[in-house]
Amino acid sequence: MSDTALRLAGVRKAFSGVPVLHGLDFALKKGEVLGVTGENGAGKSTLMNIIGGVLRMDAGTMTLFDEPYAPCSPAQATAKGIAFIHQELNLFTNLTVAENMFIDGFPTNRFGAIDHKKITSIAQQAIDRFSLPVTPATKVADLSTGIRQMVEISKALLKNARIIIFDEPTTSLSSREKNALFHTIGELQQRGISMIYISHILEDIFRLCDRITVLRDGRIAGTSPAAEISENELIKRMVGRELSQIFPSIEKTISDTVLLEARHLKWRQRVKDVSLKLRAGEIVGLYGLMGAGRTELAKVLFGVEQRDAGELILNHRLMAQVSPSACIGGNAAFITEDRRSEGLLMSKPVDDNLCLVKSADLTNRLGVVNVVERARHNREAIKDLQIRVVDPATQLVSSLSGGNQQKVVFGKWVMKDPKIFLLDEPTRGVDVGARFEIYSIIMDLAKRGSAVLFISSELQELMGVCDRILVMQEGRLTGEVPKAEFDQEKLLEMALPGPALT
Amino acid sequence: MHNPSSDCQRKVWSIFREMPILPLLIVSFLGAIAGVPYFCTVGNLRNYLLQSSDLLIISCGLTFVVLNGGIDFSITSILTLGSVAGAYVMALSPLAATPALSIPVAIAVMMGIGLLVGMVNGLAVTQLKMPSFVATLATQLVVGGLAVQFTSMVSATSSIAGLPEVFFVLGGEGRFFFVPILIAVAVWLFSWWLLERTLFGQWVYAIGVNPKASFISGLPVKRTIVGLMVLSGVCAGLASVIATARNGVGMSSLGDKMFLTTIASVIVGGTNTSGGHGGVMHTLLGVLFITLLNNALNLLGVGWYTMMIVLGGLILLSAMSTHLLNSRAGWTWKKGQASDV
Amino acid sequence: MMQENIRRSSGYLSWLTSYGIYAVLLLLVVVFSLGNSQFLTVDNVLLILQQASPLGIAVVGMVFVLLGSGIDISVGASMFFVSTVAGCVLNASGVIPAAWLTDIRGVALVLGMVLLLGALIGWINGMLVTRFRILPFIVTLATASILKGTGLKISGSASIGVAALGDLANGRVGPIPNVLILFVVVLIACDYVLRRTVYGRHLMAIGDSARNAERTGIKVNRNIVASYVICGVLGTLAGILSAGQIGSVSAGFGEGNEFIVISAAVLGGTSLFGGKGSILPGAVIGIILVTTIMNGLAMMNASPFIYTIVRGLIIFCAIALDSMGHQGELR
Repeated sequence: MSDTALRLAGVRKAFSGVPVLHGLDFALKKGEVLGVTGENGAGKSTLMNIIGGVLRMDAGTMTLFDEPYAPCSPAQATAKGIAFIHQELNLFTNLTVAENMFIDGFPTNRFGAIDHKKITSIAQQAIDRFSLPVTPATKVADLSTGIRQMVEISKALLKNARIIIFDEPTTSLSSREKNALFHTIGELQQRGISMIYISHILEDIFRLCDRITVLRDGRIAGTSPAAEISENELIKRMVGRELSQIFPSIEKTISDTVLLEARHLKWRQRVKDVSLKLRAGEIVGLYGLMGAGRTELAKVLFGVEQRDAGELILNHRLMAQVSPSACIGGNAAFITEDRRSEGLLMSKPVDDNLCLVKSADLTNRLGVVNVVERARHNREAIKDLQIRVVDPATQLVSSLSGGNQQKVVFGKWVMKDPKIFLLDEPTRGVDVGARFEIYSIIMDLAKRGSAVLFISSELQELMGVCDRILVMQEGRLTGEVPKAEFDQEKLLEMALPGPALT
Repeated sequence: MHNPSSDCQRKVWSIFREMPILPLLIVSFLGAIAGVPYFCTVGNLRNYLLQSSDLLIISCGLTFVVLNGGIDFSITSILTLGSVAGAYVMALSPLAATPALSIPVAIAVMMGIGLLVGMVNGLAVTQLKMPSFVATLATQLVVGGLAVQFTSMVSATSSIAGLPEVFFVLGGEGRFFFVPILIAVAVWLFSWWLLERTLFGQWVYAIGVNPKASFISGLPVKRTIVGLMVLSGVCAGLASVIATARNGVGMSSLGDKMFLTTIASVIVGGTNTSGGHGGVMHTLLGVLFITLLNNALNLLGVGWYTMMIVLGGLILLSAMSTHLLNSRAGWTWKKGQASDV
Repeated sequence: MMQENIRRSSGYLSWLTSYGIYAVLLLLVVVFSLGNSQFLTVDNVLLILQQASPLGIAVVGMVFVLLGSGIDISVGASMFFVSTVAGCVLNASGVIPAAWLTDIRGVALVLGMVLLLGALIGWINGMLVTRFRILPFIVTLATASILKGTGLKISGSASIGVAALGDLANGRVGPIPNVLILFVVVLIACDYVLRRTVYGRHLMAIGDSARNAERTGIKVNRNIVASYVICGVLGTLAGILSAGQIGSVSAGFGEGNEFIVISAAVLGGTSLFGGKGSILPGAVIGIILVTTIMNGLAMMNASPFIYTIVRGLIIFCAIALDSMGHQGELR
């Protein structure tokens, strides 16, 4: 018997040919809390999903308590004693706290009825452990997000797990709840349970963990005992990426004309008092970690979500009503993060997608679309953006590669010749070759005098493409860095949430 | 390599794949000519086209709604209320003495009812966010109830007779049999033009496939949905004019059989019930097929009850085959690209 | 810092949706009893309950389907179909021994057969919805048409007597109608299934989020099929009882019952969008409200066509209330 609870050797994983994990070796000792951190896209979630049975690895081996381990489903992982607490909650709001805790395995009596006494009493114990202000009979719909997260955690703890994976568990917890959770983690550790704790909050990681592993670009960038490494060294490890991507270089000038100005925008709890300006010819990066509110900001700017407060000026015009069609009228375009559900008509041909926005301009007074003009514009866009498609009139967008799909989205907007571009993760799911083309498209847009807001989780591409970078953290802009001062460490530090303010 | 014959073959195949109803229609038409006595007579074929005409009009309207993934149950009641209200204007109202005035007014009333009900449906779906199938169920009950109540108030029987002779021209009376057919063709052409050539049609398809992406692309989602519900209502109103003229009386039972035939025509034609795929070309074939079936079975002495069973079965079969075709496409799609996570 | 721990939905809208129905019922009772002194008598109240019971049983079944985000508009047609079949069996000589026809054995046999038929109809509906991913209202619209057509072919649109079921459907134990007892039994049993069994809780979970349920390892399809089976069984039971009350099955029997059933379920707080609703008190209060309106209108000598209009208005208002705040696609 070794002292290792879980060992991974040479684990690889690729999505549509793009490698995400390049042969990881990784060990979790019995009874330790191992912190895992890294930038967005470093491969943390993929790794944990493989351990939790959500995804299957392409190559490599896993050993769990000296037995080979290769789960095919989350249920198998659970059976082997691995509990995975996802960041995304998996609770049913119309059921009670107790019912949610037992939803995947109710204890029943002889008549098939749920043993209500039993689930109530066990749920009560779990509630008492964190002294949550609920009863087992409270409906989850009546709980705040923080409490819901604690319920989710309690649910996982009920399963007698030997290994528990926490994925960003504290994002919506109050400081009191957070302390209770940390206390429990300590208790669990004393009972000999091993834990993997994924977080961006370095302070928490240092407080909780015995060792800290940093992931970078699908590789382990180093594992050290928490006592032997400083916060600065950790950040250095997270960002020390080699520059594998080459960026196009283009001569362009930034004018003084402000094309988009936002003043004190607020939306729910996700966008808190954001002000920004975009100038003609300028590419402004917006960096932030997952959940910082970048997508929400873009949606508020484009009127997909209605702002609660603040002003928006497009092309020197104060917008009274912000809606997508009003913004398009104001010469703006929005390329969404999720192109499948928000960008494209996946089951329609390329042509139908390309002309979606432009068609309104190619229409006579009777509402008839000029088919010849439309075909010409489509052909032009396909040529300009080098979209690789055989027959645009019949080939479905869903049959294209990720990069080509994204180019269709660009085409849809570029045809309209807008001056303001909001790009939300435009290179997500796009392979390396096509990325370069997309960067060229973006640069070219700026050269022709457009203002671009480029949202990304990848510092590298922002630094390669942008003229300045704004950093967003928990709904606020926390920094602005001009091109001359680009520095990965500094930017990441601005994006990392500090000690909880609550 | 470019091979014209294989190119042509591919084209034919793609039409068949797109519209599986087409070969079915051809085969059953030939079958009816060969196997059904009296089918291939001038009188019956004329009858066939006449029967198709009001069904085509009402089905074109419904196609718009189904393209948005919705449904409109209220069309039958529009048909009914339109029929009795129109007949009232022409036969019993003070205007009845002057057909030159009463007929246009009646037609306006009938189509106006469709417009109004369609508007209510559209606003219920967009403003109250009600699913169209219940919103239109409710309006169907209300409007249908109004029709029966209205008839019982103005007439001792369940129908209103005494319409002006001129009006029957719209129903294809005697040598004017081409009138309703021409109207139906005009409506179909207009619908086709609307769907395939105008911006509105482009919006209907886009919103049917992906309302969220459409909204972000600046399309007026709500206005379009109201528009298509109104279209459906107005088409039902027009169909009511023609059906009333053909029957010669305003009847409160006019819509009874119509709904099933209409929805069957649209779905069997191949318009996908989850929205965004299909169109009035499909619906035309669906209408011709369903009417053919109705006509031929009628000649064979098969009654409406059997027709109900057949139509229900056909709706299920075509919905099932749509699923099977799509799921095969979905399978290759999934295989082609794993998630981007 | 104050943390908002327990979120309480506030505002008059939520009050309206949860308690409004009691207020409406109370108001109606007052109006009707002012309009007709016979309305609020023990006899009439028992009559209302007796009228409400058969359809109430069907409402219970509908609640199951609605909770799983489905809908079944074939209820009326399957009531007609099974009652016709039952009538034929009861009338045809030789199918079952003549002696049985007059006593409990015949009724039991017919009842058993009908419930089996109901289960089969529900199973087919459920399979079409889950395996072929066809929209529930399309599936049940089509099966409704098939059932209605088949029933009419069997009966030849003639009225079929089902007097043998009269004792069961119209009989009383003391002052209490049999059907009311049956209704109460069904209510208690089904409420228990919904609240206290794994199946009930899983169905609720599916209605809340089918995706989450799938991820949790709940057998989504199987549970949804079961909900249609329950609806089929209870719907046909309701049909038999209702036919027994009338004494015969005419061609129009059952027509429009699906609207009554759905509107009663929705009025009782069951959502069309799944995952929200109850049998006690929801389904009960819903059907009592609908029956009260119908009974009251009848006592005020309203034209029968007004019923249809009122029914439509009820369903419209109920669904409109249910749909407010719904965040989904507009279809």
